[in-house]
Order: sequence, then structure tokens, then C-alpha cells
Amino acid sequence: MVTGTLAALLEFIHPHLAIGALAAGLIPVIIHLINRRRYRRMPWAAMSFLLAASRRSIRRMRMEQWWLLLIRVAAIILFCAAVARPYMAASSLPFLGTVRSHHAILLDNSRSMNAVNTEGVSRFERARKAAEMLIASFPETDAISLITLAHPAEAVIEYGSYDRRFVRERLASVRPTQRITDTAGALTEARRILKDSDVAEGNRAVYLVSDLPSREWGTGSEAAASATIRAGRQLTGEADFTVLRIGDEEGGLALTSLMCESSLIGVNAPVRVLVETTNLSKTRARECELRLQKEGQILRAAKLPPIAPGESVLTSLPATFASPGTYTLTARLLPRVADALEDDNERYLSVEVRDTAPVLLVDGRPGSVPLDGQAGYLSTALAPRVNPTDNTLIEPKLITELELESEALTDYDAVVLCNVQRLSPEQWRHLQSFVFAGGGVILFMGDLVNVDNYNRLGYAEGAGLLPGQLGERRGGSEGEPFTTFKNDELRHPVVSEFADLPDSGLFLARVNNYLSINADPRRAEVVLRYANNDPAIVVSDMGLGRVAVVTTTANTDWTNLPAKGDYVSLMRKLEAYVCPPYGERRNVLVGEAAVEPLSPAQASLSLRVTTADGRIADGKLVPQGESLAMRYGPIEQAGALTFAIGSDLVRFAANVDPIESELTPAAESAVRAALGEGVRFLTEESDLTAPTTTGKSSEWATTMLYMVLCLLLYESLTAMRFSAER
Amino acid sequence: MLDAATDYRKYLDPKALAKIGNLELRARMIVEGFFSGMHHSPHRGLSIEFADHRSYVQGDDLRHIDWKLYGKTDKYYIKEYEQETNLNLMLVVDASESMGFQSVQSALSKFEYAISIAAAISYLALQQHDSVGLALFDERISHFVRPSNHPHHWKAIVQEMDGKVGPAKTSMERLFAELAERLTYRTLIFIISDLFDDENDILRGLKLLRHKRQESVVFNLWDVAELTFPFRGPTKFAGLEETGNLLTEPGSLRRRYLEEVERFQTAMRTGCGKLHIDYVTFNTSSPLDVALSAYLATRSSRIRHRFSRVMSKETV
Repeated sequence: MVTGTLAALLEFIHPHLAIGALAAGLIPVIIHLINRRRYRRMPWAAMSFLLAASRRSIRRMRMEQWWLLLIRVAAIILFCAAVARPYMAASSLPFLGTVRSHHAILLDNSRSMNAVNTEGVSRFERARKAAEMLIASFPETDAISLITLAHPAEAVIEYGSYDRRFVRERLASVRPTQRITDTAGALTEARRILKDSDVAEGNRAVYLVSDLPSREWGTGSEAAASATIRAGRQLTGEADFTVLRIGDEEGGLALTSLMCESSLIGVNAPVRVLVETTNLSKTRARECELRLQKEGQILRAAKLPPIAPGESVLTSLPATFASPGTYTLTARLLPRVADALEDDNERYLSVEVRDTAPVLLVDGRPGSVPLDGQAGYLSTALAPRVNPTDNTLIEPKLITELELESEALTDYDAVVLCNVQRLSPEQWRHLQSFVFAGGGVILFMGDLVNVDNYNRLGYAEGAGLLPGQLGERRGGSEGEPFTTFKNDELRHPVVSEFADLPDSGLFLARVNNYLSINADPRRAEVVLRYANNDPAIVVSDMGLGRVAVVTTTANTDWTNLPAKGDYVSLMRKLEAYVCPPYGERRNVLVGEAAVEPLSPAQASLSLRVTTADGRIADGKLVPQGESLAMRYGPIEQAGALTFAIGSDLVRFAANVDPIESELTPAAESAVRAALGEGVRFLTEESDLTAPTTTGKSSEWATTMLYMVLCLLLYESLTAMRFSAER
Repeated sequence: MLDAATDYRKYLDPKALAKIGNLELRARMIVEGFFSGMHHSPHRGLSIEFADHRSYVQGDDLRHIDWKLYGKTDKYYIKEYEQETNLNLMLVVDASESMGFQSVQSALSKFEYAISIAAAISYLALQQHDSVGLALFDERISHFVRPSNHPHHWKAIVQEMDGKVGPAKTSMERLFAELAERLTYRTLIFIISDLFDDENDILRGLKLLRHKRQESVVFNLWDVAELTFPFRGPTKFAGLEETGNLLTEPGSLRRRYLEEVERFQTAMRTGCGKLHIDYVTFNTSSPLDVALSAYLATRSSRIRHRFSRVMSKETV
């Protein structure tokens, strides 16, 4: 009965090994059976004596054999069961088991943890001190894992360590970062680590030491919150969960956005720089000055009015650039704002100023006059010239399909294929490499387009340039021989300006023919649809560049859109989107990498990076499609970085993510609602200690191994005694 | 350098004898080897028929002085007796299947050992002018050679024994009954067997022989493995003479088995002792001179017994 109760209480850390233990118990029996089959044969004359001896001994021998077999089976089962790490409630037979726990400490080192209190102590320092005290409270037999929350969450100590000195060293090596919080990732990592832990299930504990950004606990971004809550709930069912909320400081004024009004900036062309300032505190902000600098020189300054709590102010500052090149603009709030988080009082922007933006237009059927072919319409839309001598930033070049072979694509920002019948495999590959390296490609359809060539070589089952597979040629229905563009879901930046213009020419335009396209859901995005919901414009990112497919013509062959005034606006938006100014992707967030495509000639030059804090480092050469690129990162500090490629300088801007400037912590009720009432919620660092062993499990592996040793000893002595008796 | 005596004695070792395939040669080797270790000739035996007188010389046995002649002549004369056949020997050799057993520790099978003993005794006996006969048996007497003292008789005995082990079982009681019927005159019977039969049957048979006033000597042969049971590990013992099989761990049975063997030997020794029958156990690994010694010791005691009876008649 005692055995039955024991078995009911006993559980295993590795239950599959426990099943193996039962199977292993058959090993002595199998060996016995095999030995019965493996015997030597001996002719024997004195059989009568042997039979008489056997008759006298058979009963005793059987008893001895069964007893030895029983001991061996028990020893093997106990050994395998010990390997399977049995455990039971610590309250049952406490003097026989060992209580051992695995603690996973989740330490938040994201940017919001840099917020300092009135005494000048940061949240991170307080969190680390609390973690040190927590570690000191653990018994020496407990294992400790350490995970940091800065995105991406990282296991600093993955497998539970018993070495306290090592744990303290690793804890001391953790630095606060300017990255965002990845609570969901840290919880998932903790779950994975604890799942692989070799302690009893009831003896696993998680300690989340964080400022608990409210957006991650149900009051901010839905996606972040749901991921955190999902991961947290999974973990609460598997481990003791303790949450220590650190810090209750308010946010302050923060620069939350810095961008240029136009993405294509020409030399001496005036451009407006937009700066968004947000008051993240609960009090009205006082007046301050916003200063815009270019490479350290003050360009503009503006007075900011007092901003109400939670409100934002958008400031537009004019700027002009006298020469082409890359520049770093810095927006700064002055005088120095003394709030809890200071690194959001500056913001950086990298811009590229161009003297020209060459675009290659390839026409499958060029007309004798410019507006005969599709490329002619596009050329006029992208670079309208009143006089032939007028200068425009965009410089289109019209060529025929046959001339494409001889063109160097790297000389252009974008390539537009209009009604091109077919391309060779080599041409498709070159176009794809061009996009990977940062170029843009737009494809317009037409009656010459060979669908099979486009699908087989251009789409190549998802591995090619096209973002979808082309289908049949379609038009309007029988009663209505045309279709129109759908005035709905116009969220994409290419068409978003038409969202509030239902009477726009875009929606009045008729489309008589188009090619259907089955957009690849893994990488394609539908920008605009027809009224029947078929995609009209599909775009896709590829490497550093983009590709777009317009399923109708660029001229009036299949649609009368080119005759509408909005055609120019739409085409320029599409062109600007597909071939973004390099400055756009030279603006990165902390935690991302800065990547600059290189020409083959540049690859052999010296590659140096000057970081935001003035350090000089070697740039890394990495493959980018079929060409090469210079890479540095992930970037750990916000500021301006300069890539020196030979004598050329390319400037990058790294900014902190503004969502970390929001310092409002999640309420206890929100955390409890997310994780359940079983969670231990603390707000004082001194309260953070290991939970008591009540309700914990004690492990029996050591005891069982001692029992195995005793059994083996007993088996040897018994076997010797039986042998001696014979 | 080894002297001749040492050289011959080595042939008493079964390992050496096993290399000699010819039984005749083997028997001669045994006898020569046996006597090379002694200091007197086997050809000078004592008989009970008077032949002649000779003068006493120093060292002669005083018992053989003719005291009557000394009374007449006042000189010491020694009586010399004429040699004559005075013993009938019957060698009864077991040729059942169990006698064919030979363990790896033994150089000879029990049957080979038995016929080596029988051949050597018969050779020696014919040298002493004793009559020697042979009976090979298993369930019954399969071959029977009447006793004779003709010098050529030895070859007939040897040929009869050579390689005659068969597949049949031992049946001692029936054997002794048959022997008792066939041997109508007093005979000294050497029974050479492993005696793997019921001990009570054997003793009953011996008692019957004794009843018929036959004298017997029992040579109980054992293979060394049968006396030590040295086996380890699972073994299936396949019994000879249809005694069945037994799969067992020999180590666990060893003590009991040896007890059974000891019990049998003790029972045989006690039973034979009560019947005034010599019971000698042989290990097939031990030298064969023990058998010859046993024969000669028995012969001497028998002749001495008769001599003393003759002398007592003369005295009377």
C-alpha cells in the first residue's frame, strides 16, 4: 500500500526515461532467457549422479535464481528511474529527497531602464542590485539562468549555472542599452530554458525585473501585448512567477519623429524638414527651443510652445543643400531638458542630396512620337518639361527592348519595363541583382507581354524578381466592358493621398484590359486593386531594393488613366517608392545594422566606420544579392555614423525607438489580468527573494542511486553466499 | 640423462600412453615400465610343486630351508619349486556407451584406460603362467574368451578388446548372473567398469559371484571430470546410455553432485568390504601402475594363502 502511494506521488523530470526504466527492468530477464538459449552441450556419462543432485537442489536453486533476478531487476529499474530524475512533493518523506530549484532571472536592460529617479539612480542599476540580492538568497544547490530583455532577448546564462561567482560576473557584464523591450522573447526564452531544465517541474521559478512598459501588458500595441501575455501565461503554468516592477518616473518631452517632406532632394531645391515633439509627461511642458543642425552647424531654430500632456507638435523647418552628397541633420531640444530619459531629446536624419536621378525606361513597342509608346507617357509624367532645356531631378532615358542588353543598370536608380515581350534568363538575373543592391524595378503590362516567359523566368516559383504569378488577360464584364480602380483600403503610401479623394481621376479612370496576378503572400503587398478585387499594383521588397508590377499599361492602350491628371501624381509616387532615395534606408533604429551597397570597384577600397561616439571601426564586407555591401552593426548607440569608402563619405543616422520614451508602467491589475492571480507582484526591490520551499518537489535521484549501490552490494554478497553454499 | 628405469616409467602416464595407438605395445610398455621401477624380476615366481634342492647361500629366505634334509645331512638346503599355473584370471571389461566418455582433461577414455589395464594385467599374468580369460560386457556379455595360459593367448585377448565400446547400457546384475553360470571353476575375476548402474544391483551380482565361491576385484574407473565436475556456465548435459538431458548451471550443482559420487563410492566400498571384495577406484588421469600393483598384491596374497595351506599339510 505504501509502495502504491509512493508510486502515485512520484513524478519524473524525464518521464520518457522512466518508461525506459520499466523496459530496462526486463534486461536481466532477457539476459536470463538468452543465456538459457546460449549453452554448451556436454555428453555426460555420470548422469544418474547429476540427476540425483539436481533433484535435491532444484527447489533451492530456483529460489536463489529468482531472488538474484529480483535484486538485479530492482537495481536496474532503480538506476534508470534515478536517471529519469524522480521527484515528489517536498512534504512527503522530506528526509530522503533533495529540494533543488532552477531560477530564471529576466533582467530588463532596454532603453526605458535608463530613466533615472530624482536621486540620479537609473532603473537598470536598481534592477541589477535587486537581482544581486535575489541571487544571494538562493541556496547553493539551485541553478540560475539570466536573460536580458533588450530586443532581441538574449540568454546571458542559458543552462542553469551553480557557480555563483560566474553568475555575478555575468550579471555585472550586462549593460543598459538603447534598444526596445522584448518581454515576449525573454519569456519564451525562459520557458525554453526551464523546459530543458533538469530540476523537478514544481521547482522552477521566473523573476521578471522590469519597468513593465504598459504597451506590452495590454494597454499599448496589441501585437506586443498579446505576444507578451501569451508567453507569460504559458510560463505561469510551468513555473513560479514573480514580477518586480522597477521605477515610477514620468516621461518628458521627446523628439518622436524627424523626416524630410520630400523623399527626393535636389541640389539647391528647398526642402522642408518635419520634426515631431511629444510631451510624454503628465504635466504641461514648458516652452523650449528646437534647433536643427547640419553636421554641427545650426541650420534653423524654432520656439516650441508649451505642449499639453500626451500632445505632439509638428514643426516644419526649411532647408537647402548647395551640393550633392549625404548629410546628417540633428534636431535637438534646448535648453537641455532635465527629464528622466535624456536620449530622446535628440534625433538624427540622414539625407541624400542628388543633382540627378536617372531612370531607364524600356519600351517593348516604342512609337514614332513620344506619346505613342508607354515609356513616352511615363517619361512625360516623371520629368515634365515645358521647354526641352528645362532641368528636372528625374532624368528618364528611353530605350527599346533590344538596347537593354547594352545598358549598365547600375547607372540608374530605377528601371521601368513597359510592355516588354520577353527577357532572357540572364536579363532577369541582372534585374534581380540590381534590385537586391538597392535599385527599383517597375513592370507595366501590355499586349506584347509573354506571360509564360514572365512566370517561368521572372517569377520562377517565387524565387525570381516578380512578386506574383501572372495569369490570364481580363477586362470588364459583359454588361460593362471595363473595370475601375477600387476606392477602398488605400493605406499604402503610394496611394494613401487618394484615400480622401473619392472624386479623384484615379477612380474615374476605366481599365479595359489587365493581366491578372496571383500575388505571392509571403513577400508581395497589394497597393491598389480593381473594383473586382483583382490586384492592380503589387509591390515587394527584395534585398535593399523594391519591385512593383502594374497589371495594366502605362499608356492609353488598356486604360484611360494616363489621360487623367492623377496619373502623374500616382506614377511619381510609385517611382519614388520603388527607388527610394538612399537617405531613407540610411536611417536606422538602434539595434539594426547600417548597410551600404558597394560597386565592384569600391569593394577593394578601405572601409572604415566612425561610430556615434567617435570610435573608428572596420566595416564588414558582406554579399548583397550578386554584389557586395559594407555592413556595420547592430548599432548600439543613437547618433550619426559615417562610412568612409575610400575617400567617399556616406552618412547614416541611428535613432532610438520613440516607443521606449513612454515610461508609464503597467498597472498591477493589468499584469495580474495578463498572467493570472498566481503571480507574485512586487514593487519594492527589498521584497524580491526566493519563494519558500512549501509546495516544492524533492528529488530522489541521489537517494535512489544509493539504493542501487546497496542493492548491488547485497547482490554480490548474496551471489557469493549462494556459491559458497553450493 | 635419464636411465632406462625412468624412461620406461614415463609410459605409465596416461598422457604418454595415449600417444601409443597399438594396445599390445601399450600393454608391454605398462608392464616394462612398472617393473623397471622394481628391483627384482617378475619371472622368478614361487610355485608350490617341489623341483630340486640347492645349497643355502647367504641371503636366502630361511623359510625355504629344508629342515628335514638338514636333520639327515646336517647341511642347509633350499627347496626349489617347479613353476606352474596356479591362478585362473577372468578380466571382465565394461564396454558400454558410458565407458566411451572422455573429458578434455583426460588423455584416455575410460574404455581405453580399462583395456590398457586389462591388456597389461593379462600380459603380466601370462608371464607368470597364470590362465587369463576375457569377458566384454554392456547389457550382457558380448565377447567371451576362455582362460588359458598359452603364451599366444595374449594376442587373442588384446584383439578381442581393441575398440569394442558400444552404444548399449550397463546391466551389472544380469552380467554377474551370466558370469556365475559360465565360470564353473574358481577364478579370480577382475571387474573393470565405471559401474554406472544401480549400486544395489551391482552388489547383488557380486554377492552371487561370491556365493559361487568366485573371488572378485572391482576396478571402478572414473574420468577426472566425473570426480571434480569442473564445469562453469550454462551447460546442457546429454546423458549417455539414454539417461536423458539436463540443462543447468553446473556450478550450482557441483557440491551436491560430488556428494552423490562420494555416497556411491562409499556404498560400493562398504558393500564390497562386507563381501571381502577388493574395491579400487581409478582416475583415468592417474598412472596405470596402481592397477598392476593391485593385481600383484592380490596374486601374492592368494598364493601365500595357498602356500601356507600346503605347508601346513606338509607339516602335518
